[in-house]
Amino acid sequence: MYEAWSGGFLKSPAEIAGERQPEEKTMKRSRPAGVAFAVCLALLGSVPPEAARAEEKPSIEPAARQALTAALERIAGAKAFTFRAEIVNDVALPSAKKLQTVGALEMAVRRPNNLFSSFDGEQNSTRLWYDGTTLTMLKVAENVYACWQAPGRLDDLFATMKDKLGFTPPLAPLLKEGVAAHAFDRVRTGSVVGPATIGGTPCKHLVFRGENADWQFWVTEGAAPLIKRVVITRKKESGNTQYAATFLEWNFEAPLPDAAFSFTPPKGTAQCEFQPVKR
Amino acid sequence: MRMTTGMSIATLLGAACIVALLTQPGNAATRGETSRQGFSGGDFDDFGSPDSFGAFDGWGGWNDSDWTLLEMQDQSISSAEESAREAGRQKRRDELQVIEQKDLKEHEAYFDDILETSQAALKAPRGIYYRKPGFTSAEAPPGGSTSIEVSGSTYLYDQGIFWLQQGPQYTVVTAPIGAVVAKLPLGVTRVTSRQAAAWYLFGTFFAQKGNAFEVIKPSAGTQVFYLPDGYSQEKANGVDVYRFGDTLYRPVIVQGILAYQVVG
Repeated sequence: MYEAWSGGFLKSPAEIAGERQPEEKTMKRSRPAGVAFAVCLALLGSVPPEAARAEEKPSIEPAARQALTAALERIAGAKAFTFRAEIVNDVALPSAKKLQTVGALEMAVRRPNNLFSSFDGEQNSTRLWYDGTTLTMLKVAENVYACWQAPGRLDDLFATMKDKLGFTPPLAPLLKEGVAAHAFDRVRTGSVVGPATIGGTPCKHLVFRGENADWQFWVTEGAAPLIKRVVITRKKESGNTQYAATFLEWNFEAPLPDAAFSFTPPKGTAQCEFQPVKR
Repeated sequence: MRMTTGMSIATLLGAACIVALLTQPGNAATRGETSRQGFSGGDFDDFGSPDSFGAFDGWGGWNDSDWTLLEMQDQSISSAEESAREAGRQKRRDELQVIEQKDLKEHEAYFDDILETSQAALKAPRGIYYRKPGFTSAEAPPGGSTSIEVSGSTYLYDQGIFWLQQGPQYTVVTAPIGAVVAKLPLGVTRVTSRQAAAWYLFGTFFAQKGNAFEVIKPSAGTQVFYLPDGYSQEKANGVDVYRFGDTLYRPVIVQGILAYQVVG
């Protein structure tokens, strides 16, 4: 059932669970990408505008707002899409030193309520499936998975995950239906830095500053704008750690069958539970 | 013929030269002839005699030369002994290096095995000494291990690992509850539990006891992020759990991270 897409992009759970992972270094565990990006989730739309400081009126250059809005609208308006990205994440160690970890991320989204995420990083390899009712997370190397019942649209899923489980999928804010409408709700300033080239593609470099984080986007221009790179600077963390995603490929035409978003545990996989966040 | 003054002087000089030539000691080959020609032979005949050294007080006498020789011999012996000692030290250094290389390869192979069989041990600290319970060795733990008495049994403790001598061999065992060690081993991580602060390394939990650290039974709910190699996987009430020694763990995902929680 995976033949339609497994060869080109995504693999079945059985294939993934059977993969051998590269040697993992034992380091202090890093903040998961989803949690790290939760700052962006909050800043890019989950807080109503009235939370902004009254004394500071946002100052966003029209060109910057327009460029980012166009790219976000393309994502928000797509019925289905996939992307591949290279992730670089700063980890602040207790000794006040910083370490960078890298990973490869693949995501598939089919609106309103299907999601698949595959992340292979230095410290963990994780798969996520959401078929509209059940969220499943598989820890690939350890061969352990957990399920959680969460019926709803993707926006509802992300909000509930953050509230109940304490984390969200990687780059979740970009996947929300309302991302374009609420992207600037908590932004204080925004401007165009200048032209840039990423992977041979001309882009416009944009920077937006908020209270807790700064975001930089590199977006292509034209009729079909794309986000090529995003860097989030976590200003509340020691050392101003950064999370960066460079998008290697976007595909708005990929065929995505139902099987891409459902999980069947392979033989020998142990089941566990999600620990709810204590409030 | 009338002789001039110059000719007289020349004649005199020439005669003087002849006399001088005749009286030169000459070389060894001519020595005898010369002596036969008129010099005292005793001065030269003694020169080559074996007994002549005794007569030459200027050499400092026989004792002086022996002392020097002895000193030289002594220095030579010391030098030889030192060389032998250094050779011994180098041999030991080479042996230690071989052992180190062997340990390193064994360590790497050990963790390669873990990757194949003990997925829960994947995030165990690398480069930290570990031997799983049941590991046996004909050699005692390396120098630096300490004896620890717990409930009538004597354990050898080395770098977080406990050994028991069983006949001619030594076997790794799970850490005995109540064992007290002077300091925490390398590689421990702090864990949160309902008890006071605890530290964890390869299935062993330590809590501070005065100036030392005691091995404790972990309280239910304590979470760690790896299990030591040597655990077994089983079902308890239909739930997948892991057992290491007397401790049961169940996997749980905490804010997206896989942890192992002690089951009460």
